[in-house]
Amino acid sequence: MEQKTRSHSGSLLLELMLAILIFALSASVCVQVFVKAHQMSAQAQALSQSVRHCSSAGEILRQAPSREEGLQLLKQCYPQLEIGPASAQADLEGQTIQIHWTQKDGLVCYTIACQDPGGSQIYSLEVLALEEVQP
Amino acid sequence: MSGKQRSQGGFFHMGTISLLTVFLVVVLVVLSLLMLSSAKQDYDYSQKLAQRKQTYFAAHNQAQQIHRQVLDALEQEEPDWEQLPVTVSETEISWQVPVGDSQMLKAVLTRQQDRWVVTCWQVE
Repeated sequence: MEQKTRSHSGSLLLELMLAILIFALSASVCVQVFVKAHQMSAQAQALSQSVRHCSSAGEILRQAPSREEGLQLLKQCYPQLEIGPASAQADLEGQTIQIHWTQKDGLVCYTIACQDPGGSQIYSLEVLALEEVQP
Repeated sequence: MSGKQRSQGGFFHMGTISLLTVFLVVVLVVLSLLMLSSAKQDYDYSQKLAQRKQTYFAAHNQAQQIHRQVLDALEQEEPDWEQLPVTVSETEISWQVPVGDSQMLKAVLTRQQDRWVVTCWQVE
């Protein structure tokens, strides 16, 4: 009777160890998948946010009657925007939006880029606008 | 050997612990796959949206360059419209730029008194 009980507890212990091993292996694989999914989700969110910021800024700048007015309109939307002689920059929700402009053939070429806090570019857009629209 | 003896004596019989483990593993795998698939769809959608915006602004830039050329031509006494991809009439100058495969950005300048005014700038 005692030998039977010992054999039963031994098999139970073996089964438990196997179960823990299999669970640990599958959990380690699944955790990696969870982490990958989380990273992809964060990237998607950052990209959507960047696209939203860049296209909003692009729409404002391209429809403004002049560059100065466009930048002032943009500053109303983004009060933290710092405007320099050939560029502007603002920190928004963990991202940095940078706007550079050049003038060429009667057009202003705006390059609008969004960067993450690490400094790598997430998204950029090039927008052309007339230098000055007739009133 | 009776059924009772087999269930107690076998080394790899399906006990409660094994069933629970199988259930947990299946739940973990299904959840992780669902999460990955959802995240991938989100990411693909974001990229598609980003690409679409790029295409739209590229078309807009092209239309804006034509707009600039039209304004320059209007300043000349005898503009050569054949060099520009525009349709010209007495009161209207229009041009179209493809946006992707299925849409067009249509721009129209209309003469109002002595000025040319943009009366249409839309994707159709």
